[in-house]
Amino acid sequence: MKASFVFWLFLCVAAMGFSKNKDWHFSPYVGFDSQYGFVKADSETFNPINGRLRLGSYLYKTVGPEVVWGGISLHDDEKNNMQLGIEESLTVNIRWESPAEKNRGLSAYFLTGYVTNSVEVVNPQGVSRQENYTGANLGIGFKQNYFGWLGIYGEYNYQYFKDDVRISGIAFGMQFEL
Amino acid sequence: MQSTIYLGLVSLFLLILSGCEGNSKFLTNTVEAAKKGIVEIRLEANGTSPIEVGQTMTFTVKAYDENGNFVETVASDKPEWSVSCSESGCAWINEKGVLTGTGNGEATVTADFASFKASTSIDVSDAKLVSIAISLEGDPAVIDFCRSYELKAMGTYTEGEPRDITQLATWGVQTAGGQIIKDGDKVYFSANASADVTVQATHASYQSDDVTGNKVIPVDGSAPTLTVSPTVLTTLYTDQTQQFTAMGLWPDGTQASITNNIRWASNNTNVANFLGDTTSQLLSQRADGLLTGVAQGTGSITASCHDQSETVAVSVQTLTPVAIKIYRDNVEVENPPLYQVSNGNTISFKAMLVYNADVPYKDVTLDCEWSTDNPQALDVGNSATDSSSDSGLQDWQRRGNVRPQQVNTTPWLYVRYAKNLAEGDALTDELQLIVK
Repeated sequence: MKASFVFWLFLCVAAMGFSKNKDWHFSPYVGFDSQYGFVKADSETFNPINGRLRLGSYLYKTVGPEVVWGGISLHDDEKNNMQLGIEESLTVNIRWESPAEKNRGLSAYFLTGYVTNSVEVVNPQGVSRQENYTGANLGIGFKQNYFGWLGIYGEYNYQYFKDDVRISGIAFGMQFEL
Repeated sequence: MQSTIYLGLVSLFLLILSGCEGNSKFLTNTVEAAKKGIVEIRLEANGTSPIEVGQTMTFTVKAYDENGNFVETVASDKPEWSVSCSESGCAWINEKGVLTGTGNGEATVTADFASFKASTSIDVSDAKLVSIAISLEGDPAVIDFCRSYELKAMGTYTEGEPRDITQLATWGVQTAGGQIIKDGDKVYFSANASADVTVQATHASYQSDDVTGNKVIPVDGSAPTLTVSPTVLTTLYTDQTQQFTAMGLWPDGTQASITNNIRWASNNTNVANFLGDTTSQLLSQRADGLLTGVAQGTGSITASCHDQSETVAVSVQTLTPVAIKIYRDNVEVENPPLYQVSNGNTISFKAMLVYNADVPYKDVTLDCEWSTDNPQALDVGNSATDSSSDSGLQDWQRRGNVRPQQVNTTPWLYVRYAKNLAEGDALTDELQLIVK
């Protein structure tokens, strides 16, 4: 609920800004990556791996909103007979990317947004439980462009920090500009 | 450009507003339980069913490993507590597992710790208390002096079976010659004079007036011979304690510890005094034999019961603090070498006070000021209040706790103890940390 509120607020703010500026455009893109997660609790770090789908569009120069859905759990980590995986994640970002040559340029970008991670834990007795961990998403990444439509990127996202629990991850993938 | 900056500022503001939400406790508990090999939890109550409306009952979670061996008692604020009622609103339970009866019905209490669940049921009754019957355990024919006799109070209600209300009742003695001793969840009677002593237990159940039960106890038995230990106390240091014990030997040859049944007194309370204890509650004058050194000097203590007494001479010496040392995991941290810590984790240190005599070091962690030369690299707790959910403090904010914030830094941690010391005599220690 809170995530969708923030997302729509983003869009409203974006629309207000863009309506006055002639630099706006609509350049959608789609991306696929896999994220190697770091879920730290009580001094133990679990490393679940997720496949993610990214949909977004540059609206103002190289700035725009995007949605990242990480619903493909590729690996659940196990420690001390306890399993932990990210069952699903949903991130709504504003991407702030540096301008770069589309054929062979390297760009850097920041991601600011909101994320919900649905973490599934299976205790040593085999009892499973899911909990949602939501919070601000702060990310930084680099993208190498090829052919005017392909980008290979790597990024780091910091997603949750409360009490002794932290969630972050590094992702590598490809982005296609449509 | 201006729009971009505007958009950036607004989105950062929204991010700050959004904060983090999630059940961190569940994840931390589950990892902790897995590391300790916990595979089962059991629920224990500190009383028996049924309870009255308005009465509380505390539940405890105990954790066991796969071989059924006890691992630990889980801190009461760690499990998630819930209660369901056979009839609407019969009870509620707080976040520390304390259940309060609020209406008639069967309450099923469930504790969820790291996805392990345990449940138990108790009945809550709004029946009114009609009368209280007091009994002495074992119903002894003769009541000796200085001996402990366990008391029980059984309540008869308008509905249901009589219930043990020993812990609920307020106890007292109406006439001199005896005393009530509460020790844990038990109540005892002990006599020190020849008399018919009337013991009273009073309790008011839900929406009823006080009901009082009386029992007259004729004290006509024998007094024991007292033996106090230690028999001589040559040196007691200030702020240090010495536990005295007393044994009673009765004419019939029976022997029992009577430390808690007799009177302990100091002839010079400015030098040494019995300050009482926190585990037992006395309803008439008594102390528990734990003597505390107050100031340098000499005196004596006397243990007495009925017509028996024993006196022991006491000498108190001043204890002077000479150094403060930083401890970690009950071991002194050597410096050098530098002490390596992990970034982001809360680490607990202790400050131990060293004296000019061969006595145990004293933990003065909360009495010290803690600081650092690099506040950006190291959060240093300086609250003398215990961190807990009640106080609203985070764990690292308690004195002695630190939280490294920057990797590859080497901040110094300083501790200073100045309590009751003259200006300029404060004791200090320091420790350099490597944050990795």
